Amino acid sequence: MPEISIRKRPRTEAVVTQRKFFKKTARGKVVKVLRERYLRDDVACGMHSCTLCASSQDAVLPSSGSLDHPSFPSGHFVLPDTNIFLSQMDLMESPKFNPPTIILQTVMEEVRHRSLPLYNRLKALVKADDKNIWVFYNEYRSETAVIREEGESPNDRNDRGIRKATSWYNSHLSLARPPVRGQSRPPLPVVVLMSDDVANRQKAEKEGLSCVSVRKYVEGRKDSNGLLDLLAAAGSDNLDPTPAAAARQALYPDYLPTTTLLAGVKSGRLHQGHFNANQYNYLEGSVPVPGFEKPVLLVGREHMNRAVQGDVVAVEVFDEKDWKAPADEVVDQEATLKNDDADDSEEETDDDEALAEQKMLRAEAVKRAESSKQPTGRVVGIIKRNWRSYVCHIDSTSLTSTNPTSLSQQTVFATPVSRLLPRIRLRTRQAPALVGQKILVTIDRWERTSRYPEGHFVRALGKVQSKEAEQESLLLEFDVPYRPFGKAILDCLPVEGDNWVVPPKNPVDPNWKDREDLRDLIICSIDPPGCQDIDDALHARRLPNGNIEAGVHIADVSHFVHPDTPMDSEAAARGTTVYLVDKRIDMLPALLGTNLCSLRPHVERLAFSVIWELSPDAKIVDVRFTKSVIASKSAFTYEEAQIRKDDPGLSDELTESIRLLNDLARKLREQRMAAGALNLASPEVKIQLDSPESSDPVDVEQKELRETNSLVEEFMLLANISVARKIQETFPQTAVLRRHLPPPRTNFEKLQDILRRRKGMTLDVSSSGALAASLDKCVDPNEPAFNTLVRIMATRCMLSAEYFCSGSVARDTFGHYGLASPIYTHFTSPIRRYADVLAHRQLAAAIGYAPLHASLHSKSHVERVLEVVNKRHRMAQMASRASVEFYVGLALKARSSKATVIEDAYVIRAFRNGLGVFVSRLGIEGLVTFKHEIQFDADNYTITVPAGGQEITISVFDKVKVEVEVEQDKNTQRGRVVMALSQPIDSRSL
Amino acid sequence: MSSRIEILNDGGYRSDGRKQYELRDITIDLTQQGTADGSAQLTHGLTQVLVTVFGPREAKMRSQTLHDRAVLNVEMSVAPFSTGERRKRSRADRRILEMAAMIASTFEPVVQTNLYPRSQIDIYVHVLQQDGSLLPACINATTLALVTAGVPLLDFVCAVTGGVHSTSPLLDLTTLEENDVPHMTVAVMPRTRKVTLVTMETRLHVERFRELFELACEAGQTIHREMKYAVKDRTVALVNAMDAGSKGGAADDHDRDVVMDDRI
Amino acid sequence: MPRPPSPSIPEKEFVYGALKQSLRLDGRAMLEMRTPTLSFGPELGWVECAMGKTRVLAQVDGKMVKPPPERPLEGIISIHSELSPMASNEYEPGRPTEEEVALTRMLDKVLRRSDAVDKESLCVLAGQRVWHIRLTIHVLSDAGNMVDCACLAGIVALKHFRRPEVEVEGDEITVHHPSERAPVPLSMHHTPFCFTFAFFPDAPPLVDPARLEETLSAGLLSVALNAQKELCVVQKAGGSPLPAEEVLAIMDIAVAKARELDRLVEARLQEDWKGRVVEVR
Repeated sequence: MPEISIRKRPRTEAVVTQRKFFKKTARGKVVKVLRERYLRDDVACGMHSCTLCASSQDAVLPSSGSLDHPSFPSGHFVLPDTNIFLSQMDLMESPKFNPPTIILQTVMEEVRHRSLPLYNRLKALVKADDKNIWVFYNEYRSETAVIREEGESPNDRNDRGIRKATSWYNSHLSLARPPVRGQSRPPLPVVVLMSDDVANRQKAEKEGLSCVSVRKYVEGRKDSNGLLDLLAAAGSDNLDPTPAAAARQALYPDYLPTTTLLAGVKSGRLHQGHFNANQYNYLEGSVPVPGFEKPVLLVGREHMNRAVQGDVVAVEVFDEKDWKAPADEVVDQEATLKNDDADDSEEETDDDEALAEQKMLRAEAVKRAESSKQPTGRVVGIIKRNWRSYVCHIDSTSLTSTNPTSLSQQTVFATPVSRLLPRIRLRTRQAPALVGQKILVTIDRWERTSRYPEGHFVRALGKVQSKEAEQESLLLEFDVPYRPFGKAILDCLPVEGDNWVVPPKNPVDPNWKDREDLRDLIICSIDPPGCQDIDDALHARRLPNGNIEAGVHIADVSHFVHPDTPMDSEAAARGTTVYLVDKRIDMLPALLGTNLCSLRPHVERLAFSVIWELSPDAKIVDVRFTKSVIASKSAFTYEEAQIRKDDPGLSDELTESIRLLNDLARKLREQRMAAGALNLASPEVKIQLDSPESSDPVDVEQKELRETNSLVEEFMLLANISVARKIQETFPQTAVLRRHLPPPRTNFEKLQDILRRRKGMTLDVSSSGALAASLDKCVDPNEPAFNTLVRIMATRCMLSAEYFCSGSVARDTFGHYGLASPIYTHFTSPIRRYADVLAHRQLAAAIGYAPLHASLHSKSHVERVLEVVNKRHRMAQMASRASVEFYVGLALKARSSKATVIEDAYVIRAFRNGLGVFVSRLGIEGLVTFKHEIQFDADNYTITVPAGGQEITISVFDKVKVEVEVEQDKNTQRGRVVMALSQPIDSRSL
Repeated sequence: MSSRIEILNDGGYRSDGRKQYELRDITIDLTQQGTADGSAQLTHGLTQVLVTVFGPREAKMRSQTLHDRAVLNVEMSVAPFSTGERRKRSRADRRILEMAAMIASTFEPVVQTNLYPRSQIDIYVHVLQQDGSLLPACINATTLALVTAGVPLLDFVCAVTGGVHSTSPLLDLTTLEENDVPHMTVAVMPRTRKVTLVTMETRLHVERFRELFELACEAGQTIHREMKYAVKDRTVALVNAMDAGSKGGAADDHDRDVVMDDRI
Repeated sequence: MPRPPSPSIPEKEFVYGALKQSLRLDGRAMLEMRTPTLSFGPELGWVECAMGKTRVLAQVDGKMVKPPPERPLEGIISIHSELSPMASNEYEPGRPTEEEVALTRMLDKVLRRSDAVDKESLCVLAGQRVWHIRLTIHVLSDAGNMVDCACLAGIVALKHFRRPEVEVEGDEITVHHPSERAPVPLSMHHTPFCFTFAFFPDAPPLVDPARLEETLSAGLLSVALNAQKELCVVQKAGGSPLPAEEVLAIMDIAVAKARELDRLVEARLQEDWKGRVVEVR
């Protein structure tokens, strides 16, 4: 029983401890709030062997501070001000920068108040192993608590609190080390206030505190060079604008004040939404807002007003007469803005580029089709910036000096890899060294006088096109956590390591408790070739009553991963294993994933089994769930299993079992299709690697699907559905489920229109069943691939599936649209998906195997975890797609060096000056642009190209041939796929 | 606003600087209030209640009397200025009626009513300020008021609230915390360690309940210590005053102290 | 106003004496409930629940209203309960008695505050139209443990109720008549059940007290929880004090009882649903 005590509060303290303020409630009433706080003397300072603070065993700060800064020979601690974290987070996060640091509660709270993403980074920073950071709860310590004085702004109050804490620390240090009589007192380390706020520093100096600006501090360090680049632009000492800059003409309109924005959004005058840049046209963006069915279109840089992909913005919508259709032209930033100078572009307001932009917009205004009008508007303010670090290349043309030894500071352009982002202006001293490398850049600010956002260099990732750099940049771009597993995590693994085995059967052994012995069952696994993390295995056998018993056995990961351990929280943070072409970023340490939990053949493994009794026509008679011990009899690849099944000469138990399973799977599939499940398609290709070591791609091929693929899939679906039902029943509030919302009808409008006009086909989207049926009818006898193409395009119209907590959404939205199942979860791959681990725990509790951990009773906790998992899941998908694309590029490069690559392609979009095509054999999309004028019929999705007297018409869904090659951008070294039409007409001459 | 405040932060501190198992400050004032037979004003954090006790006295309504014991009559009133939002609660507010009924039935088996047949004991509870843990404050103050009124009790009744944030139990919740986490009130009789009142109105798993319940019972003992000191102080002061009046000077003050300690 | 006669002294002593030997007047075991009988009316949401001679009628209806501005996205659930002299000769019309307050508050806590019904799913058009579900509880006769019986009747009525299907197109709301489209059940988060335990000096606790047991008991403890072991309400307002372990032991008993009752209710509801022919034209 913990110690329970009463906090006593002296009566005289009331002034300091009580705080009264007024706040407005959601209903608009003004309410008085009175809060109190308890000041204490046991808030620890965090120094090792501090004689005054009791709990110094978990202290992290070395008692003598850091001795390696020349300015502070007697040792020092850094105490950063709030503005350091608001603008210099990259520096603070750098592994090279780790002086002993004290973070005040005041600072934490201010950061939290200003920006949650920064606060989360700060929290991660505090927890990081390699940093010496101590959080000092100064607001709760009696000596350091401050109250806001009459007429003092909250900011000033906080600054004063920070200064007070600094001075307290310094006197605490001297008190903790009283001078020993007769000995000269050793010099004491100092606590240095680090702040970029000049006023705060001046006040601190007046109070006799040592303080320093970030730049000064970093410059004073021995290893300053590498760190200086990490400094954000705001870190420069002269914060006030130079007269020249002040006189600069503003390029963008000012943002409205936040209060006006919020009031406007509330009143419906303004609209709030995420800004999406158009990847085909950098002068256009859109903001989906709840107020309009179609997203609000922002045309021109001025109207986008410094919004960056992902920002939450407030937009003002124009009158309906100004509404436009989105541009049907491809405008490439690099091509148009080639001549922009990084250093002084803002001084020439009427430069070529601006003129070109205006011309383009004017020209477009005339040609825009009347039909598909969209609301237009402009950004009037940013509600929340979502800036993070971006992977970029340095634009070599923007360099003023390419002398590699030059250490002069230059202003250069960094071009983000993502086409959705603007170029970033960057000041660096190592520009020449960075050319040809992938680098990480953070945006710091975007002034209204500047055409481009300003950023700072974070770190270099490596040479462009080198696999390491590409891989890391990919992981960074999609925010995939890829650090190796820490010691605390590896400590959670069984001590036996690789030698762990299922102990001999013994009912009292905890490993065997309540487990069924299924070792005699004929169980096998079927996976793709080379699969190491086998998380599922199957069996089937006939029962005497004519029914069939089928079982799915899933690796019992929750036996090894216990809740509330470092391994569990790490897995929750990673959310999923990420598969890249040549690398796998595991969610769980490899020992579990590829060994202890992998259901390898001829080895006894712990499993979680779902066992059905199915009638011969594959109807569920009964289902039960049990923890078990199994011994897989064989691990097949899809191909092997297929061959075995089809081999009439074999009739052993294993083969029979596969046949039985296959038979059932076919019936299950029929039932599912009858219920209205969709048969979707996405372009999936497989990269053939030469050998695992060199990982040079040899060729790209499309994935082959066998009957056995579908066998495994059907049973996994069945298991997931059965489990979902069970856990939802038992834990209606917190069950971990997965759903796929039906797509809004408007998503299909464009596709329906194209199909109707081009092919005379209709798509019925009233339900998933109707859609499935009408997709089946979209067949062009001459084009066998056409149906797949339509399916791919239809898939793109849909929403993505997501995990959710059953208590947080209405019961009638649980359904999975694509699978046409009223309820669904993920249970079958706990090695590589965290949601499955949660489902395992809940199922174990539901069958009374183990009590449910308290965190899984907490709806808010489950929601929080699933939010992360959902995000990771999305990011992981994008990362693997990008990885495939990269290798497709490499393969193409290899092939096109030998001969020109010509591939069949389908037109999927038509622009005024180009065509969007899809090359199914490579699974990539590309753009064919025409330099000369062509005729464009937006209503019929057709372009007409004049070719030597005759005219050739190309429409959407037409089959063409394209020449594909990889071109290296001269400036950025970025490889990109370029396509040109070769049939029916050669487009390069046009 | 509340979403911006962390109920329990990483350093293990709650929004007002307390740790998980720390209760708020309790100030007890047992000075006589007007003509009441007994009274207690209890300030628990920012929650403040005043309880006055009249009786045992002859019942006003004859029909209400019981032939074998006294009737406890609890009237509760909540000051309109007790919350941030000024709102007048009618006396017939069901929540207040229920709370009054709960206080009455809590004390019925504790007060030795059988000593006063055909009489009535009136308990008036005034809520002056509210910031969470209202029911415990009312119950604790009622105990003290009954003690000062000299009404014979079997034992103290000590109440406390507890809640669970995610998986960590908290004791003695403020309004901010009560709005955010599942919580319960437990009243114990410290000598027998028996529980006389448990109420919970928010959803909580049985296992969590068990843990929190045991913790709250323990916290009741801590509160008891605080209440005991207050009663002792007052009695010592009274005894001193009496001694000063009769003998002038108290030689055996210390002994009395010990005797008092034993009794309570 | 004459007070109802309290049980006579011999009656009291007889009951106490019997309970000391774990014998109850109606022959039940100490932890045995009177098996509830649920009968459904012709209308959906009309349920009569009887536990022994205690009978409660619950009826649910729904209509569409404009939501209050502070909660534009949630439907409204209101519970009306009335104790008329018809239930027992101890009740009188007029000012709400203590029993009535206790009943109303308990129903409110068990059925409404525990979030049994998903209120968000009752929103039809944000800020414009939401469902207002009204549950009316009539106590027909009180022969002890009226609260548990009322809670059970209430929750079963909510589960039994089906509201008409609604379709929204833009700002247009179409309510489909039950004969046109099958009405839909309310979306429920969980199903809480209430159990009341009574204590006597020197006797083990008993569940589901009869009228006499209720009046003579030294204390009552009500627990509301669902079959998933989540407590929603625990209420022991005074009465004779109990050791902490006993309180926890009662929780465990309640867990088992909730599971049992959940099965019974589901079975009854299914049975009734099978017997109903939903005509959809």
